[in-house]
Amino acid sequence: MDCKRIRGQLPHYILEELPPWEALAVEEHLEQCPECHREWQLFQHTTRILDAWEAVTPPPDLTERLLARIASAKLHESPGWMGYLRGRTSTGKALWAVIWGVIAAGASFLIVEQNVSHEHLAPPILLLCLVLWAGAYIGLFRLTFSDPVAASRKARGGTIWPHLSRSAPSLLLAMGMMVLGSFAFPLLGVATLQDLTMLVKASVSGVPDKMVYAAFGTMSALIAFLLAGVLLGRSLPVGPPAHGLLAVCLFLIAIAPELLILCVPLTLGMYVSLLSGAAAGALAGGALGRWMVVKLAHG
Amino acid sequence: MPSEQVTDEELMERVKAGDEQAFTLLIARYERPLLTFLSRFIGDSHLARDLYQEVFLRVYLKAKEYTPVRKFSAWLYRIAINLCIDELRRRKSAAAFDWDSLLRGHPPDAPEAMRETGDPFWQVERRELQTKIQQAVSGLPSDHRLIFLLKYYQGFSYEEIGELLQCPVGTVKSRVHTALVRLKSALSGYRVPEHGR
Repeated sequence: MDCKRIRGQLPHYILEELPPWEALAVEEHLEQCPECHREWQLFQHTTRILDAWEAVTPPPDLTERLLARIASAKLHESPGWMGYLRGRTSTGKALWAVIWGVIAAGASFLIVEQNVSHEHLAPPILLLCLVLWAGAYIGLFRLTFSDPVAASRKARGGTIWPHLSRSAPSLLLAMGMMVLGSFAFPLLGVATLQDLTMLVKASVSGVPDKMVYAAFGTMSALIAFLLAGVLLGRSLPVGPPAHGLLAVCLFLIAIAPELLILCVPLTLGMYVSLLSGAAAGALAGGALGRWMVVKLAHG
Repeated sequence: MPSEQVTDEELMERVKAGDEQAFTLLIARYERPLLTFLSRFIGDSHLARDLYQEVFLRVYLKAKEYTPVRKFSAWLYRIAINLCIDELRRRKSAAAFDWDSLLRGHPPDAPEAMRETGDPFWQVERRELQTKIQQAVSGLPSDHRLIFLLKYYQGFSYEEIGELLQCPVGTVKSRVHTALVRLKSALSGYRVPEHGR
């Protein structure tokens, strides 16, 4: 057996990974060849050093911290498909929310049916209304169930801005869907809320129109999204029936600007100020809602 | 039955059934070897602690996916290796990871055992040697380092490593061979300090 081959086998010999007959051949060679013997000694020296590498001593509280982390993770553990059905996950809750939101919107529609022209009850319009309103509600859930506690850990500061920027896409989606959904209900609440709208209109008369509309849009959207942000927050359990009630409340609040549009002849400037005010209100309300959820979650 | 006689696989079956004490036993068995492995592979003891927690968290959350067909230790180390690889990729992609600068700027933490009292000269030599070994091992390419650590310190056979990393046994042998040759060269100028000189 030549030296080159033996030297190639030395690492495996040192690690006792050679078959017995090959190990025997290496040993015989080492007895006869001083150079290979020297090489073997160098490997032995290396393994002595490697054996002196001390194991890490775990910190005393490592297991305790691990178990605490696991206990925390268990709270958010995936409960399987039954959990989804029971609403134990954010997806499951969102599913329930959509179901109850659709039921609530449908019920609202039917309640005011007597006051609405039959041309607005056409099935495609009804379907469109339900889909858009469900979309708005999903948007709200994307906002409120996107783990505000984890977001706050990243933000560290507990200020509103990180939540505002993080939640902006969901909020804008929700706002867009909500505005569209509300337009799809052109006469839904008119009959029932006309008096309220006229009352609001009367109460704000005397103030410059655009500011009134912007303020009105801002306030209504802010309240709607603030409620959503707080009440639908992950750390606050809300049962499915409450989603239905909430869906109706949020819907009525959110369509208020559009009711105003229907009741009062608006100029383009008023229209823009109303919608931009509503968007700003939605952003602020949603972020504020998230922030409050985070604060509540952290005690 | 004394806990020492229960196999890891049996403990995992109990964990799957919701036995939290079995999980604590598994943690106790693997705490030191796993933390040591992570620390040696990553070269950063603080990060190793984070990864260690993440590994056991995943073990707990994925317990139902475990089947006793596979050795628990292999499954555990597979999870650990995946996390380490992700971490190394993240560091590499952040262009902020450089073993040399890391070792120059932030020498690896000395094992806690070295903080014991004793002959101060011996302690200094010992600490230096620990740092040199970490540097030498960290200087290996990551795949060589991983295979070498699994073989030399974690006691996996060539076949087990091949199965664990989904690579041929010949490749495993070759990596171990190369790693040991490189370490021989890197550590040839050092010696193990003798205690109580």
